[in-house]
Amino acid sequence: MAEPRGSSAASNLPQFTSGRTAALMLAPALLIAALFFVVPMIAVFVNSFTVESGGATHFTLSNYTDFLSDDFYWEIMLRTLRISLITTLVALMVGYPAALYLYFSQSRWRRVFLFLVVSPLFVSVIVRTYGWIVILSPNGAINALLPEDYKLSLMHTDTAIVLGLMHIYIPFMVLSLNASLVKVDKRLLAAAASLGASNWRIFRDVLFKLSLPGVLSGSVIVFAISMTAFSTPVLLGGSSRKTLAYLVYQQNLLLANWHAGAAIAFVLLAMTLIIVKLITLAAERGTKHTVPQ
Amino acid sequence: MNAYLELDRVEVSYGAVQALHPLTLSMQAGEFFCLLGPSGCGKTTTLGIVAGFTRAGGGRVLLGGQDVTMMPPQQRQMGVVFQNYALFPHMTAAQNVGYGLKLRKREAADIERRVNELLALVRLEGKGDRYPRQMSGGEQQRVAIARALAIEPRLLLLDEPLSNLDARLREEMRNELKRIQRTTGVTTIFVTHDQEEAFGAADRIAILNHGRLEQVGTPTEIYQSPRSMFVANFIGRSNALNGTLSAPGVFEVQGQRFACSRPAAGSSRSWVLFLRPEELKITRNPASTNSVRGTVVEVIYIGAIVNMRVKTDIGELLAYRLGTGGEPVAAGDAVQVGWEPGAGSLLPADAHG
Ligand SMILES: Nc1ncnc2c1ncn2[C@@H]1O[C@H](COP(=O)(O)OP(=O)(O)OP(=O)(O)O)[C@@H](O)[C@H]1O
Ligand SMILES: [Mg+2]
Repeated sequence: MAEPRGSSAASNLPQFTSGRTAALMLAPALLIAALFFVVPMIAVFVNSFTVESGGATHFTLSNYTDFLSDDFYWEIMLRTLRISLITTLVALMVGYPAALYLYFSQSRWRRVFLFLVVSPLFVSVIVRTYGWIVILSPNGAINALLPEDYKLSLMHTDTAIVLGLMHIYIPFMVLSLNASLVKVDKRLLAAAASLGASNWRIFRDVLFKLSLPGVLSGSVIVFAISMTAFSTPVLLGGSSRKTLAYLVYQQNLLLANWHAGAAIAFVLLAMTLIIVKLITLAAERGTKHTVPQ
Repeated sequence: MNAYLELDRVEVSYGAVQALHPLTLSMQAGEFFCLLGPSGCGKTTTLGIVAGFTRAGGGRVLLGGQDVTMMPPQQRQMGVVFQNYALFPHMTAAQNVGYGLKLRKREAADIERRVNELLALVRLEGKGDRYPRQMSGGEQQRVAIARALAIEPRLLLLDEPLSNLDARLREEMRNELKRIQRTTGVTTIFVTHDQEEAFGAADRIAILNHGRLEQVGTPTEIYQSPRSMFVANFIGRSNALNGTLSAPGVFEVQGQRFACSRPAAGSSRSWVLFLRPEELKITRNPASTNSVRGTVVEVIYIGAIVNMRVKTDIGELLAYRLGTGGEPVAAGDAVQVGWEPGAGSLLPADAHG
């Protein structure tokens, strides 16, 4: 089927995006991005391909090859990836029903519920993470409830990290899903029902399809910030459950190994971009035609 | 003949708002039925009851003799066309039309054939691959109609489907709807607040006001014999004369006596005689049994029809006549306004509305 999007006539609505106006509007954001993102990124990029020996700087691939040929680092890479994917999936599975509730609810508690959903954002990451430590630690809340022989060792596990991340990132997921769902006209659901669609088919064929842009943006956000999360994995995972963000920190700030640190940072960035691209491609097939009318 | 669709004392309230007072209505198979009334009178609510989207607080809905009051919309097999069409934006026109058939697990080839038939019926051949946002309002509406017809609905329900269209397209689509309805023979309920639309399309019209049924009848019946003050005021233009029945067949307005027919029903101290502008005749000399003297205030030519406002002892009256007939009249002329004794509708003044 031909992609029809290009066939629409040029819009003549006011757009504020012509020449000088556009330049002026973009200038502040571009300036900040250039100074604090592009320039440092170039510096880090150059660092990742150089070493210093005998006071001179040489080009090398060894920062990357050393990292990528070490099983220890691979384990950390895969763990970071696994934790981020699981966090994204869990956030989606927990967030979707909540977003659905917000979409359908007519209750006056709806706003209270929305506030509760986003409330984790009002508490600092460190405080929230310590909260999880209180709950998960060997003498914590969960184990206090379990009988003597069934105590769990939850701290310093991948599960603990996923729990901590998911808790912080679910609001982003719910807000993304909500933004997309509120655009779905409820009469579409009534129309589907009158055509004979069961509640499941209404959800599958109409509501979910039309919420895919929200699923996509929510997943991309949660995945990207999970990949780069630092304090939660460090506090809940401990030294035995390191993630890439910690490695970057360790190389740069603890070992002052700027070149290796730069290479790891770029590996992290590349992995994130590749997965984000894959998520986008997967979702795009379903969202091609769901641009709002 | 037994009714095809019956609403039997159906009630709906939203919290404290009583949207429908016990409403009883029936429709024959194959009828093109209009629900007409001002904004907020309960038209959409009534349609929602028939489609199953709205739950009745009391009463029953019977379809072909079967009680469907509690049946979910999925099982009712009713084609609904919403005011904004509610087309699925992520499906092409053909996919929209075919969706109901796909749910019924028809074979792909079957669906394709039927979809093409329907697109031809609504004159959208070759546009099946378009997405709703690539279509004009009129085209989207026709897709919505085709989608509703695809499931061979037991009823076609249309909620103000023409209100988003401009005047010309609106008339075109109204005729199109009539044609489609005649071709398919599907029993249709058409909701509108535009009386011209209702009169132009309907076999019968039900007039709602504040969640109550005011009158049901053919367009002619409703225009010629409004049964309530509300209907008389709501439909068309009228001259309302307030007076009393001083004797049987004698209507008295401010001391002047006019011959009138006996009221259909009711007993009241004061009455209102509704006279349509086209029932009034403007002449130089007294011509009819009933006539009053007056002075022409204004003459306006509106195409084929001339509107005349005449100031008389019993108030200002509006009269129409064809631009070609009668003696020419100008503002300031002294004239006689007359009407036949049987003309107009006599209604008790204390009736609601
Ligand atoms: N969900 C609702 N909650 C509360 N009141 C409602 C609701 N839906 C409708 N009403 C009220 O019920 C009455 C009838 O509404 P309805 O939508 O049936 O009117 P309508 O005749 O279709 O009007 P319109 O021509 O403006 O579409 C109105 O007074 C409206 O305010
Ligand atoms: Mg309505």
